[in-house]
Amino acid sequence: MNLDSIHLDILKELGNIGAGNAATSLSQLLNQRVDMSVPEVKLLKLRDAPYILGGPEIPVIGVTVLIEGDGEGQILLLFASDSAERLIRNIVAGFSPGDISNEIRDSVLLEVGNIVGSTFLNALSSFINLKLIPTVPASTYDMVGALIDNALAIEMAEDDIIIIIVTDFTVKGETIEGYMIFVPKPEFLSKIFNALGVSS
Amino acid sequence: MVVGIGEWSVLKLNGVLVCLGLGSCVGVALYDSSKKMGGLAHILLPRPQVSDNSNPTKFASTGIPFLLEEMIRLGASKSSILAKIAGGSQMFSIKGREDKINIGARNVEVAKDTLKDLGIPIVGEDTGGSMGRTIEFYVSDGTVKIKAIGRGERKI
Repeated sequence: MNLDSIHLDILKELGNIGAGNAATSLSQLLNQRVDMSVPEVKLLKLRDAPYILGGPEIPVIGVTVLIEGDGEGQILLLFASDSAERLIRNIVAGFSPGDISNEIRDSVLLEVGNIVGSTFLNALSSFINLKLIPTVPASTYDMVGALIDNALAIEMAEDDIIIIIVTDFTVKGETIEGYMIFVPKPEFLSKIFNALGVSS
Repeated sequence: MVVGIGEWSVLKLNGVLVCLGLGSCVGVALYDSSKKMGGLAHILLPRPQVSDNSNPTKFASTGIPFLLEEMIRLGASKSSILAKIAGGSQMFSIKGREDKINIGARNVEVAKDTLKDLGIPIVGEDTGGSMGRTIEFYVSDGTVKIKAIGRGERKI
């Protein structure tokens, strides 16, 4: 697929709409103001994809949501461990850190995956008028490279170039850096562009 | 030397070939001990769906024969080549979607079938599970070291 500036503008706009909505719902969950940076659209060569957080061996918490319906793909949320910890503490404010069990941590992360994934997909759905359904999320703690190659393989990324939408968000002055990675199957990406009247 | 996704590399006599953070990807290490020559391919997918794909080492079915040919071209003898494979995890589970997300297992299966068809014995394996792996392939003696978070180091 050949992507030029109009395709990148479309993806950036999708990122803006999706991330803006996700920030609003996260702020409802946290009951605090959530600021989100302007999403950055990155086109990466396959070999560079595992380096987005610095290096393939960096341990991260990943929350995966599969996209089903009129388009297939994957949304992968990645958090460095300290960011995930700050996010969890913000959400379960009132608990002392020692009282937060692994089960609570996991369910908080899954809920964040649910909210961010479904709001991103809702925004995308209404923008391009396709029916997109998120699966239940799954969480993993492992090397970032392992999570990324797994996402690329599942979506059969034969194109050698992958598209990543990166957003940072800030809660109550604390930087909680989260990366949202949108990996559409190549056919889904073509559908998005076609739905907007742009050939790919 | 780091071998990235879909890449391959061959070294002679000494040096280390590395795949960092393999998830469902599979690292296929071929070793000719008589020549002290090692080749490593970083496989992403089982088979190409698009026939004209330009990068053979992204796929198990095309990448392993490609790596073998390159090694023979560089002086390895096919009869003394042995294989070790690592990776092929399933990094997460979602109920009812296993057929879609068990690509690591399919990578391992096709890698093994391809090696069998080529008549290359597999002498070491650390595959499957749900963990990321970094592998280091020591060309001086053919050892493959495997590191995973929370499991320590293994050698095959």
